[in-house]
Amino acid sequence: MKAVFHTGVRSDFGDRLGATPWCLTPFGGKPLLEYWLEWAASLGADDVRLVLGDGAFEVESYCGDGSRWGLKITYGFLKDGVARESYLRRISSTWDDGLLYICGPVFPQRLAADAPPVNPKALERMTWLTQDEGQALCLLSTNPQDIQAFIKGVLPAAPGCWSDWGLEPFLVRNLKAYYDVNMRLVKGENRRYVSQGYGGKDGASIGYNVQIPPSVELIPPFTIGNDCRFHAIAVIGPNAVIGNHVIVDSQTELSDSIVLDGTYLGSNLEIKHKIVTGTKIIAPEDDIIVEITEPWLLARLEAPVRFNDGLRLLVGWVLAVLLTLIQALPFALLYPWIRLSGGGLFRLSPRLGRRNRVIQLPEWETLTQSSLKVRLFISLGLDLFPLLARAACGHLWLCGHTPLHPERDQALRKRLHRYYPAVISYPARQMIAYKDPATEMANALYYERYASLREDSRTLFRTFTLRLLNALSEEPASSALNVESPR
Amino acid sequence: MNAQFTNTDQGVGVVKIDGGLNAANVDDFRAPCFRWLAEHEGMNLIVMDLGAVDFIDSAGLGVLIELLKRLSERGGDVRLACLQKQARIVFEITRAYKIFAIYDSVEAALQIET
Repeated sequence: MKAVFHTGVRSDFGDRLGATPWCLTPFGGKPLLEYWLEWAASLGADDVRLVLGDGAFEVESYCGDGSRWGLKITYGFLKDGVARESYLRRISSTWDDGLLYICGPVFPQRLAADAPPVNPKALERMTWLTQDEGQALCLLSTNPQDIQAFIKGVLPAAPGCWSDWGLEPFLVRNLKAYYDVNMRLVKGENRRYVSQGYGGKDGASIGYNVQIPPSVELIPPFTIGNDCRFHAIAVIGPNAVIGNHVIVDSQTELSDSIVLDGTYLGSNLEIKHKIVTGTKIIAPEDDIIVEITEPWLLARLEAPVRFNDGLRLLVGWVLAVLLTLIQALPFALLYPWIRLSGGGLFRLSPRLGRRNRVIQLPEWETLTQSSLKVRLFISLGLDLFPLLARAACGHLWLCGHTPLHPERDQALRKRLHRYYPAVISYPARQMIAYKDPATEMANALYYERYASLREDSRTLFRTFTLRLLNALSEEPASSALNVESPR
Repeated sequence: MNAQFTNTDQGVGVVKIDGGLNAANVDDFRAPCFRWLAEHEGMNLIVMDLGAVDFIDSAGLGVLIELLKRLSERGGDVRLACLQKQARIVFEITRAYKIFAIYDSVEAALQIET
């Protein structure tokens, strides 16, 4: 059995996707050419001829001598304007022991994970797939007479059936077909093409050297290639196919989409039902291609005016007033005692308040961790009392971001489109002060993205519940709680 | 670089080149090749056997294109055979495969294309 694959013919979807040769375009994270080579290897082909065209160097660099697939690959060329079959005519007797021939963007769809035993009847007749004009795009035969007839330009009248070979190859006509086959692959069909032991049961597939910093949400099924980096707050999946060397920046949501190799996704993008390649965003359903030079200008995740902010502010203020009133007496009793005994104290520190005004906020500093009265003080949330009083005065939100330092946190402030300096934030909820700038930024961006009355209620409830539970436990507060994720 | 020129009665010439074809030795090839071409005016197909050529640079490619141009002017063609990897990559990068007919073997190149 020998195989001849023409990679130099034109294809509609390949031309639109960009500079990568279409035969190297990934299908479910794997180049189309690799499916062909695996098919040839499964048929026992010992000699594969790649007839090169545009992208010849990339194709040869990718395939090499074919030893990765247990094949021997040799390379050939055809001058422009020469009939594709003429390559077979040059050495026509070579193909008599069997031929697998592909001359176009044909995807060899498998019908099942395990290749069925080949029906002997399939070997008797040539099986082929033709395009509209009757030109053979894909052909498989072990019958020398049929092969010679094909080389002379005649296709036998009664073709065999692809299902006898366990396959149903089809032509990838356009971008929509390309998108559809990728979605089918990521939703589960790609298990038909991987060896046993390599497929994740949940449909999550991640390549090597992939960095995923905190707060990235990965929802299977998805396929992620090699050497990718995801930034904070990106939500990947479901049904995302991401190629190699892809960078996803913050606040990106990506689902039901394909991202091709070497693409950078900027912040504030929401990508659904799209193909992204380089700076192109393609809507396969409508066949619309949009060039994006400034990705952050497109499709903001949320409307600029947030109506629930007003509600959050009002509810937060009412709760802050109530909490201040509740805490006033315990604070007046406990704080002077702790202060005099050296258990802890408040220090003023400049912070950015609401409307970016610099205000002096009292920050609690524990001096004696093991003291029972200090633990009681913290567990009742009395260390937050001065901040609650500022919130009752309208200087802070009840729940939101940790108030930022006007100078030290300038970089983070610039990243935030909306800043909610608050009494209770994620670090306060967990009672640990994050020192890692990346985690601080992740928390801040996460809150900015998911700020809502529900999120505030949850943060508030968990903050005070955990403080009370912590008072009952023997363990110090910070060590018991610092493993929890913000969500 | 060593070049051997042979021609048949059917107006076909075969040139076998041994070694690299580059700026350093391209003149050693060009002069005898075009002299040979001038001596055989009826020859309109040349098959270049490049099986022993391990390196071609832009100067080497230039002389092949010049040869193709000369043959095309008299209605002929230049066919390349047995391209090795190093030389093949030059043809891939420059896309010169679009203008040359490239064959796997000399025998295949000598066949009349249908």
